Parts: sequence; C-alpha cells; structure tokens
Amino acid sequence: MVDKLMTVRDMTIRFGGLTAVDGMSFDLSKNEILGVIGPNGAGKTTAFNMITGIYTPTSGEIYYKDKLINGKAPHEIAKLGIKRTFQQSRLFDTLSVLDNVLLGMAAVKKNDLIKSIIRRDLLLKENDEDIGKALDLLGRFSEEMRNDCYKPAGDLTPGDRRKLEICRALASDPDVLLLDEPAAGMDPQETVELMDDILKIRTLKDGIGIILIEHDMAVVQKTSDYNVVLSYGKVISSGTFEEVSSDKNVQEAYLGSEELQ
Amino acid sequence: MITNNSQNKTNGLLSKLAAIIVLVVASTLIFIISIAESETLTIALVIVAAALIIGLNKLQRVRQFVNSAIAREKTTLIIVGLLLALAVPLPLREEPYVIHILVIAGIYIILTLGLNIQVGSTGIPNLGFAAFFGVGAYASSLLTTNFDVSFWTALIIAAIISALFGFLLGFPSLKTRSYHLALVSIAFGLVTYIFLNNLAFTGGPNGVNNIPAPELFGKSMFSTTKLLGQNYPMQLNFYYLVLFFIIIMVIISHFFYNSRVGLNWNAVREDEIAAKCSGINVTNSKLMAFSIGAFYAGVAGALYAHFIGYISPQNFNMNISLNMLGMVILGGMDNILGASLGAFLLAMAPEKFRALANFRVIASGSIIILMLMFRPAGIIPQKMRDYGKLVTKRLNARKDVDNG
Repeated sequence: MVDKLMTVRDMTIRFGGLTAVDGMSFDLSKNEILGVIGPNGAGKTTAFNMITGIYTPTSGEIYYKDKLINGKAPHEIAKLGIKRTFQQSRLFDTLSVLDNVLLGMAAVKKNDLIKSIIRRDLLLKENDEDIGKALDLLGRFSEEMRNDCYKPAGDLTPGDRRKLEICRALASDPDVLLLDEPAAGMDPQETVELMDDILKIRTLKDGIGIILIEHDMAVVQKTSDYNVVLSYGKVISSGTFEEVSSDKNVQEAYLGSEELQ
Repeated sequence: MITNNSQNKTNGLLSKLAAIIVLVVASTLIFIISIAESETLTIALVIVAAALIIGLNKLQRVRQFVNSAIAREKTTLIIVGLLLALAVPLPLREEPYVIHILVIAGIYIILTLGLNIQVGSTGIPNLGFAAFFGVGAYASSLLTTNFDVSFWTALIIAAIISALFGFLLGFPSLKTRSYHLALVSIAFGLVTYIFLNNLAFTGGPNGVNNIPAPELFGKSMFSTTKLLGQNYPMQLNFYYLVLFFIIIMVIISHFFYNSRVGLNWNAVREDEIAAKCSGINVTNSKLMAFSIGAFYAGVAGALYAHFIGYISPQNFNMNISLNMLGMVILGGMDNILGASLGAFLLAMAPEKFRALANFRVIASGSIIILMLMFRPAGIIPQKMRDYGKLVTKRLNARKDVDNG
C-alpha cells in the first residue's frame, strides 16, 4: 500500500441527464505513468477536472495518499501535491517565462501580506532561492527558455508552451502530475521531444506518479506503463498498451464495430 | 579579461547625467504645460514636447542610450525626482490656486494607485471606486466633527472602514467576472451615493461642513507657513502632507508588486482556473485586492475632506469613478509610475481645457480615445518583472562554465 499514490473508486459525474464519467476506477502507484485513452468526448478531461477539484464528483471516492479529497477546492488539491497541465495550454500569457514558473510554486508558498511589507530581507532571500530553482528547472527542459526567461509566455512556440506548462506544474514538487493531451497541436519533431520530456520528469523527481491523457498512440505506447480506456464515460479496458490495443472492445470504440467485420 | 576603468567611469557619469537631464526636462515640460495660463505658451510647449519625443524615436542610438541610462540609474532618478517634488511649490508663493490643483492631483495619484491594484494588477473592472473614496472622506470627517477624534487617528480609521467596504463589495463580486463584475461595481457605487445622499447622519445632500484642519505639532494646517523667510499659503502644508502620503503609498505598492502578493494578483488576472490549479487561493487574492485598493481610497478620502473642508455626495459620484478608471488606462495598467502619471495628467487636464467651458469633458474623453487608438497599453505600459542580479548572476555563471 505504501507505493499507492492515488486510488479512484467508482468516480461518477452527471450533468443533468448526461453521465459524463460513469464509475471510473483506477490506481496510481509511485513512479508509474498511467495512460488514459479513449475517443473524443469519452470523459477523459472531465475525469481530470474532478481529480483537481474543478468539478465535484456526483458519487465515488478519490483517495490521495489514503486521504479522501473529493469536494476539496482546486487550490487545496494543488497544495496537497497534485498538479496538472491543460489541453489548451493556459499559461499566464502577459507574464514572463520566469514568473510563470515562480507562480507554479504558489502551492508551497505563503501569500503573506505582512511579510511582503515589513520583512523584505526574508522575502529577498526566498526570492533568490526560488529563482535559482526555477532557472534550474527551466534549464532541464529548454536551455533557450532559461536564457530568455524574461520573454512573455504568450510569445512562445506551441512546443515551448507545453514545456513551460510542465515546468510550472513541476515547480512545487508535486507527487502526482496530470498531463492533459500534451501532444495536441504539436509537429512530429516536437512530439518526439515531448516523449523524452515526459520520461525525463521521472528522473527529476523520484516517485512521481503521472497520469497522461493522449490521442497520439505513439506517445502513449512509448511512455505509459499501464492504460485505462474510456468510452462514453465507462472504462472499457485496462492493461499494458499491447493488451488494450489488441482488445476487441477498444478497437470497436475507436473504429466502430461495422468496420471491423 | 581587460576592463577599462576610466572609460567605465565616464560612461557611468554620462548615463547618470543623461538620465537626470531626461527626468528634469520631461517633468519641467509636463509641469509648465499643465500650469501655464497662456494658451500660446501651452501650445508651443506641447509642440516642443512632441518634437522631442519624435526626435528621440528617430535617433535609435540616442534612444537606446537614454533607455539604458534610465534603467541603470534608478536610485539617482528617485533622489532627483524627490528633490524636484519638494521644490515644485517654492516658486508658487503667489499662486495658491496652482498649489491647490497640485494637491488635488496628488490625492488623485493615491486614488489611482489603489484602483490600479484592482483594475491593473488583479483585473477587477471597478466602476464604483468613488464609493470607497466617499466612505473614507465621510468616515474621517464625521469622526473629527462629531467625536473630536484627531485627524491622524481619523485617517487611519477611515482607511480601515473603507477597506472593510472593499471587503464587503468583494464578497458578492467573487462569483462574477468581467461585464457582470463591472455592473456589480456600478451598482455598489450608486447605492453608496444614494445612501450618502439620504442618510441623516451623513448630512444628506448638504454633506458635512466645517471639517477641522489637521494639526501637526500643535499647529493648524489651515495657517500660513514661514519657509525660507517668506510666508507661504496654507495650501503648501497640504502639498507636503499629500506628498508624504504619496511616498508611503508608492512604497507599499512597490512592495506588493515585488512580492508573491502582486504576482498572485497577476495570475488571477491572467487566468483564474490556471491560478487555482497552481495552488493560489483566488478568493483570498481578490478580497485582498478589493480591500487594499479601498484602503488607498480611504486615505485619499480623508486627505480630501480635511483639505477642502466640506464634502457632499456630489463629490463622489459616478463621474469621479470613470475619471479614475481613465487615469489608470491612460497612464498604464499595473505600472506604479504610469498610473501616477495618468492621474496627474488627467487631474490637470480640466484646468487646461477651461477655455472650452462645458466642452472640456469632451476634451478629456478624446485624450483617452486617442490613447486607446495609438498606445492602448498606456503612456508607460506594464513591464516584465525584473529580478536584476538574482537572474543575471545565474545566467552569467552558466556562461562562464560553458566558456571555460
């Protein structure tokens, strides 16, 4: 049980008459990359939104390190150590690359009004440490971004945006990282880099568990240890990539049953 | 590595000189343009200023040099700027009205700094900011006239009461955003105005009269001051009083801006969901922006009430709110210097357009429209936060490793 980071049991959410996610269950262990795949509209991003507190599940339980977390506010969940990226990257566009990474540390920092006025010395020291950490982190993913860290995040290429989003999420040393379709909108070269980056995350932080939503099967095949396949909100298959890709249910969900015959 | 010390020294001196000259020329021009009574002089100086700006933009090398000089010589510029601000009223002994306008402009600077925290830093469109200004002014004048509280205590209590009102407006506003939030703030401004106009203890439409002067070292600030062997009008006292508060408020703003508080405000402005998922308590951040912004307005309100001596609801109506929003937009969002400059210029503008009589509101409005067309980010736009040595020392260290 020590290796379990997260346990999700029968997570369900209904929007009016629509059941977007229906009884989803999975476990996430330390050092594991869990791929969540499924056709468009299967409920993958909705599942992420429930784990990170943006939606509250209608029923079911989400345990993180044996603690029940459903219903908690997004910033509380981030503080516990669960960070995410977004399908449509949501950077702080008018702020610099460095500020984006510094903001990623907000989960482990106090927003202290009094200290910001009367204890400037402490603040400066903390700033110094934070900036050192942020620049190191940036350097691991892209030397150019590190050297050009005052560039507005809005001016970055899609590939760099994705890298910066990952850096921002990693800045607070999370134990669980949720990546929502990181390869969306990337060219083949950027996708190859991204696969390396995903594998790199594990070397930066020992024991981190990653959940990856992805449509690009090459990325899933190369990176994931275990997969969950969602279709219309239900888990229809799970296992290693080889197992799920040869599963008849999965092929049907992706291709439609008629084509297989 | 060979360094040429003497060349560095002359370069340093040159850039210091350039920075000082730019500051002095720019502030003198702005100052004379805004107070000159003759129209020919005003127009001539505006043309000179425009020529200087265009010339500077054409000469790339000079512009670069000036820009880097300004960036390098911040401390010198602050000291010279302070000296200028201290010296400004000295030649105006015979012109109490000009000092009066400068004091009002100063009060607007404090107000705009507060509004800038809400609109510029946090992205809360507040169209009812005059309400906080009014609450501050009424709180401090009612305290001093009815309860015999000293000005200084009243000012602090007024600012705190104003901040509480900010907090109160913050709560219903948390669920709303952009247009809806703007509407909530308009409603808040109107409700406050109507209350001030109808409540008995605020004096109704007549407001509060005979607000006592602040006292400093047992001396009333409504009396003349002897300075350098000459008698100065009482406006001078208030000039330095307001200047003192501007300095404090600028320092506080600067501290917020350069800390996690300001950074989190920016994150909330950019993307609330991403901010939440990064671990920022958006509710707290917004309420902080609401109350701190209102705190500034409370300070400004108290200063205004005790300077003018009487207040009525009319001083805190919707027009004032819109005017202040214009100041932030004109000067530059989320930029302390920009917001202050915008406040100063728009506070002086009505005096300039006095000749246009009733059309002067149109003149102020056209300035803002022209600005939005040609320089939408404001006179001094928002800049990337500069961490100076903290960043450069690390980047240079890496370069040295690569080279060696």
